[in-house]
Amino acid sequence: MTAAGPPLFEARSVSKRFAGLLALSGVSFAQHEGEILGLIGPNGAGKTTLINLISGTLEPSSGTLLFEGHPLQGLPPYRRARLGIGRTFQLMKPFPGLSVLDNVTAGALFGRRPERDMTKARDAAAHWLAFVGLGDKLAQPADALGGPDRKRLELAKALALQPKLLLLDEVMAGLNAVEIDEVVDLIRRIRDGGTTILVIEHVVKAIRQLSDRLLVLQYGELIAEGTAAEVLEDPKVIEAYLGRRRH
Amino acid sequence: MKALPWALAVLAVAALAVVPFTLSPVLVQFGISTLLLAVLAQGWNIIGGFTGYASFGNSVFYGLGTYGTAVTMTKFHQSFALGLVVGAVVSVGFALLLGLPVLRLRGHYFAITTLALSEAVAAIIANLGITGRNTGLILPLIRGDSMFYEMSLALMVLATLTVWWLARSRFGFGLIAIREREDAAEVMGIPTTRYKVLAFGLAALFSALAGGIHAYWITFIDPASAFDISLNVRMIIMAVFGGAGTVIGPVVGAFLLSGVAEVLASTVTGIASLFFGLVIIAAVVFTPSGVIQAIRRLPRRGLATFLDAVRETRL
Amino acid sequence: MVTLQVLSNGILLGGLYALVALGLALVWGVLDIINLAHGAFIMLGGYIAYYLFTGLGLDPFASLPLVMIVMFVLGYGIQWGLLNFLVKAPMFNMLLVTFGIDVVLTYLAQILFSADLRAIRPAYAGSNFTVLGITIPLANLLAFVVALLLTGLLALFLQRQRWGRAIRATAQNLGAARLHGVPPRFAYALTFGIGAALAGAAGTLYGLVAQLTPYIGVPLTAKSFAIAIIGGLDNPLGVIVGGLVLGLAEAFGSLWLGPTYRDAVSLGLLVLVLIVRPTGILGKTA
Repeated sequence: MTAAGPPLFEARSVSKRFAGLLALSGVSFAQHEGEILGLIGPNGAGKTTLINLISGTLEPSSGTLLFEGHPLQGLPPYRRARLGIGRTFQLMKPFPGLSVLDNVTAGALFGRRPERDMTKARDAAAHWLAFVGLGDKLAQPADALGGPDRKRLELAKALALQPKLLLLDEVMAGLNAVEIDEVVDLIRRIRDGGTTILVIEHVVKAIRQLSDRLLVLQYGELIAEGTAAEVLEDPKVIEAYLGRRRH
Repeated sequence: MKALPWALAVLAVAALAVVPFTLSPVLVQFGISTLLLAVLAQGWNIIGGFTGYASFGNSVFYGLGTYGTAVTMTKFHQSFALGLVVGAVVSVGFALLLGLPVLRLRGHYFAITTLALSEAVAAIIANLGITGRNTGLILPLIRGDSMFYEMSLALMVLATLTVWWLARSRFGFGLIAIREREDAAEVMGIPTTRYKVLAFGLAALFSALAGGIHAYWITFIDPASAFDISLNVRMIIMAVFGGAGTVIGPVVGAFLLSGVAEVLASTVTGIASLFFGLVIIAAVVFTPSGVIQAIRRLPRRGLATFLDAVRETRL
Repeated sequence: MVTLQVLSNGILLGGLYALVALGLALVWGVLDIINLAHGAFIMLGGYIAYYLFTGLGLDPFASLPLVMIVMFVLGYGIQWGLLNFLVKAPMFNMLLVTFGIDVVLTYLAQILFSADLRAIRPAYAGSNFTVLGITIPLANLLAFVVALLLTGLLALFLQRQRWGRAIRATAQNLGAARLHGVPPRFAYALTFGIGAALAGAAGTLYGLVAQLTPYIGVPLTAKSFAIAIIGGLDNPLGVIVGGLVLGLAEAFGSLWLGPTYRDAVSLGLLVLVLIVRPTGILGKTA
């Protein structure tokens, strides 16, 4: 999956400091169009912080983020969504008082190809909900959904933005084996539709199947990068996961 | 679009429009006050009901509209129309300017800030010469309550139509998303800051126009009445009791609560306010989502609707 | 010299203001309830102390515990019997109900006590003493001391005592309160009762150094907000900072801009604090 041409997304020496705690330190990597990039690492490694920096919820303390060659510095989250960066939240954030359909309609109305007509936006939303498998639950209140369905809703919301870059934050947490396979398949189909994906995941089996390349974060630093096979054999990575009780 | 609600709405407006020609002058005056309160309630509905920012200081926009109109007419001897425009411009300008810092606050903090801001502006106006300090201003007298009634009715219809449009538009959808979950709305591409400030400005516009009409009608204004704190509570309770976030809720709430207050004032003198306080308490306890919501549930659950409501919100 | 006098006035006022705001800050910080009837509670406490003074000759400092007990019972009852039913409703419902309570209490007071100005004036009410050229009224000084004492006692209670810790736990979350063995309904009622008791104490002292009418409620509630916000809601001692800031601001505002600008000063200050540092001077950054 080597892609020619400039990368879709680039991080250059990105660091983030929170009042004395260095959450990310000198992280640099690039992602090419159509790639599925996996991001793994122990808890607290800084994975979600990185997603927050890319989506615009936070700004880096130093370093640059480039999307399609343009720096993202200073762009608020809604502008990045318009540019084509979509994300899901680990702690899912549906609009509680709205129906499943309306939750996704927001993305269709305000995303990369904003739809101004309410009816057309709702139709587009229905299409994305059917894609993720929630086609029969359009009218249900969003906060009445169970766990796996909530994840599908999060996904549909991000897809409705028609993102060029999709950031997935642990979408498989708490799912059983069957559900995981379904989500893996879904993600593949999303990539086949032309979307570039950055996946944070703990479920190793899934990340191995999905990723073209894998990045490993520990204590805010990138400690390994390569194919799944390479990275998962890397002694540094094994040590990071198996821990500090070696001595 | 269903035809029946529209037909009913047109009928209702028509019925209201003929009031000055059919009913007593006292009722016309009641009508003007209530219609203007309904406008204030709708204004609050836009920023509080739809956007979820419960402002406790919309009286500042009403007051600025009042004074803008009054100063234009008394100190500069201009027409009422120009007065209304000035009042609206000042008020909306204030909303857009101060909206930016103030709308960064949430929940209780936002509520208190708007209240304090409203009081601060009132205190400043009470000290300025051009606004007549504490003695106030007297506007030129014009007879004809009917004219003010029809103006108030027109403004109320305009405000309600705007809210109706909000409920169906992309902009209104954005506001609702902000209310439901602002951080999620931001990453979904909604320009939250811009939308919040616009909603605030819209609320300011209607409140200012109501203030201007009221000033010319009453002909005497002073800081205490123009920036009356109790207006805030009244407009909120009317909107909430009627149904915050709905289209006609605030209007229904305004008419119902004003009606109750009037009836109490005329039958049980002296302790009318006491009963009004009790009515507010009962209303909020038994219809926490507003009267409209309660009415929708009545067919299914009957009187148990009210007990359900209590059960849902109790600790 | 004038400056020192104004400074002294401001500080004495500030101490009393701290107690005025304490009940509201407690209930707001712990239960997330903004009690718009807080000022009415202060007013009621003042009237109870007034009638104990004129009827039984009880000095306000002596009747303080009694007033606090009565107000505690009232507050407990209101929370248990009414406000507990609204805890899960949207925020402004609580604001509206407490506003309704304020309306009811104000008009009951008007009917029962009439609108005449009342003041609690024991024998020592007029005595002053002079230090460094500053006049310090005895009553104000005593009120200042008692106010700070009560504030400090509350802070200790929340830190050390079992029920105090349970109340703080409730502020964190309801589940934690259950773990402490305190049912939430009780913790809520207890907290609100304490808030009312503190308001009653403030009213007693207020009746001593100022005047009582049925209408002092709303302005006192407004000042309590300002103080609670300026001082920050996380720490009960924040009201001391807030009270002093407001007391001094009002005193100097009156001096420099004239008494008519007094409200504009305190409100302007409040708005500024809210915009710049909403969690207050002692609060943790959001």
